[in-house]
Amino acid sequence: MTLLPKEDVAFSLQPEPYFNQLLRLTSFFLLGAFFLSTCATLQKLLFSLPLEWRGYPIPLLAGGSCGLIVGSAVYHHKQSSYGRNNRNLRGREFYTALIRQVLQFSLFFAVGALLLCLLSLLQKSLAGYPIELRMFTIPTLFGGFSGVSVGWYLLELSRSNQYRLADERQYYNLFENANDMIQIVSLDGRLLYANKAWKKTLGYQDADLSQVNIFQVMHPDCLAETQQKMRRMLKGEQVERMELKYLTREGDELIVEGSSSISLVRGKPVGFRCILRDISERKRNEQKLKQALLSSREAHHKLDHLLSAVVDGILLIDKDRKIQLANPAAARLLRIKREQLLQRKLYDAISFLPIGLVEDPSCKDFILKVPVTEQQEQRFLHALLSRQGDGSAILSLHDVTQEKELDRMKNEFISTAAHELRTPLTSIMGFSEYFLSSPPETSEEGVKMMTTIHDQAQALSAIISDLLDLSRIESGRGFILQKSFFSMPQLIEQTISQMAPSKAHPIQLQLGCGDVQLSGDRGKLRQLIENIVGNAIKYSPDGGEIKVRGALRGDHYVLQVSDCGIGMTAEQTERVFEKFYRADYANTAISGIGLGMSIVQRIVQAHGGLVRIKSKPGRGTRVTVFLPRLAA
Amino acid sequence: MEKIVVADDHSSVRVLVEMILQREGRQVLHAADGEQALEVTEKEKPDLLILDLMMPGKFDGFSTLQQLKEKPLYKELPVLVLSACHQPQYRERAQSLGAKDYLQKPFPIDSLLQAVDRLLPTG
Repeated sequence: MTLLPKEDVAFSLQPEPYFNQLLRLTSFFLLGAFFLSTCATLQKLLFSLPLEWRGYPIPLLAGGSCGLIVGSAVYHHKQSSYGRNNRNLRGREFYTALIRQVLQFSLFFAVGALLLCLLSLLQKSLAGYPIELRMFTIPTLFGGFSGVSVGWYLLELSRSNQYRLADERQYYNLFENANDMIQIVSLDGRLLYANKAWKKTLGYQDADLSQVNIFQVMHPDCLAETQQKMRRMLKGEQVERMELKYLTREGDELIVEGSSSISLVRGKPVGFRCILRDISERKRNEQKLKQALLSSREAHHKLDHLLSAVVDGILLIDKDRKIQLANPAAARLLRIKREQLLQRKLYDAISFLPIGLVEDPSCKDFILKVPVTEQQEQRFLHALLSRQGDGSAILSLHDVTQEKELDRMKNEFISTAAHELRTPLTSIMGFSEYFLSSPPETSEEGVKMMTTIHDQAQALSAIISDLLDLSRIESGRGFILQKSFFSMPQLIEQTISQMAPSKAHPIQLQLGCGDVQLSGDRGKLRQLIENIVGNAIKYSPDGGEIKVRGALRGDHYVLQVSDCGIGMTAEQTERVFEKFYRADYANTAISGIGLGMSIVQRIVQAHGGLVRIKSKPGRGTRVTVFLPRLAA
Repeated sequence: MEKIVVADDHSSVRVLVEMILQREGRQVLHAADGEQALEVTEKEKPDLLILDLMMPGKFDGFSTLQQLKEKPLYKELPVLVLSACHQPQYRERAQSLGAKDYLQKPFPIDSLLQAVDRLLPTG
């Protein structure tokens, strides 16, 4: 076992082949022999000394062993782990170690000198060789060197082995048992070393390793990139961190992450050291997390879409009465911007919400009045409160303005209907009571009373049939048209003449010449004419002329009724077909139950026709009805 | 003979009231809407006005009542409202405008007579 230069400790972990050791020892021996031969030649030339003793070449033997020893000593001195260990010493410790070395050196030197002196004495006494003065220095020097070297060598051998073995075992164990994968590859990718973790993770056995090229272990996807990185490293660039895909022996894909550096031997790159970690699990978790995040985001989006699509407003209020969620409908219904709702305190954000309402456990739903703004009328929201276990609550808001309005209109209708019914009833009951309490003296008077009673009863009946018509339409049965062929101009003329014509409202009839036979429900169309013309009269001032025109245009009979009455605004025109709607319900002067136009529309629809209204406030109204000649 | 003005857009109601009151010896004058009611009142200085609320034309019952009560001369003229509107708010509004009594249509003859007797200045 020898140690390689310190640049690459890891390399020394590979045992050095015996052949190399032998080669080195021999080279030292030869070097020494050459050195001593030179010395001996010089000795002979300069001092004419014999080079042989009884046929043995003294300088050669001595020189050989000396060279071996000196070489070893020098080498070991330089490379031993003892010396290496001392290199890290500082200050007093360093000097102590130095002095100890010097003392050891001197001791060996003395021992060596003594040994050589003994050899010389033996040489002299046995062989009678004189120890000459001129010769004295040479054996002494040799002996000194040899002694130092031998001693040094022996010491170093024991000591360095001891240290080195300890060192190497530690390093080895450290590398071998590291949790991370450690690999050393040559420049061309041959695997020089791999630790246990590496082998275990990738599924290789010791025996396989020498055959392994790292580029086969790598996933083909990252080959090019890695090779480029290796080239960059060789140029001196630093590659901080890398992420690679490896393939196990079974072909499973692994993701490894780690760092790499160049292995140097005597300053020259010989390979790459890598410390890698299997992060497949982490990556998988990351992926899962990403997926989870993505799907949660998606769910969030879906929820957002859902909440945006809902017509009702939804507010999520947390236990601190903060609005955590508000859908666009909520903002729209409350007439508060969404940004001014979110993350705000409930009662701050919605100023018109009665304080304490949400906290009141008996309150499950309530009607929230959204105040009037410059552009918009008051709005009514039905708020449904559902409390969650954790103190939060969901407030769902449903716009009931229309329902409220309908409700109002219904109430209005009921009172108007009652009023309209009571008016003829007053006459009927009053006259009959009078008749009974004081019977009229003349039959003429009695007939007059009875006629009034009869007329009023008829008016009552007409109102009731209006109501019935409407309820029949509303219940979905619609009209059952009693179809017949009849003359439309004749019907118009008849109806208008029977409508108790008043002098206040002259009616101008333009029905053209010629008869137009129409297929339809005569009774219903009569009602239609009555309603339209009745409205024209009702909403016109005295003296206002009413024009009624009728003509055949193509397949349709067109009836047009125009007045110069009070007219309607665009909004009123739009709503005129709503049942119970009266353009100006505040104006109690105009009687009516608000069903007329609604019924008109239903009758026209039942005949497959169309109604159009054009109106201007203060200018008058024009109603045009298109009726197919042959009702559907 | 006390003069009584009946303002109602339904002629049958006016005729009925006239018949009932004439039998009791009152003089009854007709008005078909609010405007006429004001005119007749101005001209004839009646002792009682019987007024319908829902009337077409420029003035309905309420505005007729209001206009009448604004004139110092008619402040003391008793007004009996005779209306087919049964909602309490109508009655309240009429009374706040100065109507002395409120009779709902349809009405029994007796209750009209009693109301008229009550409202007419005695003697």
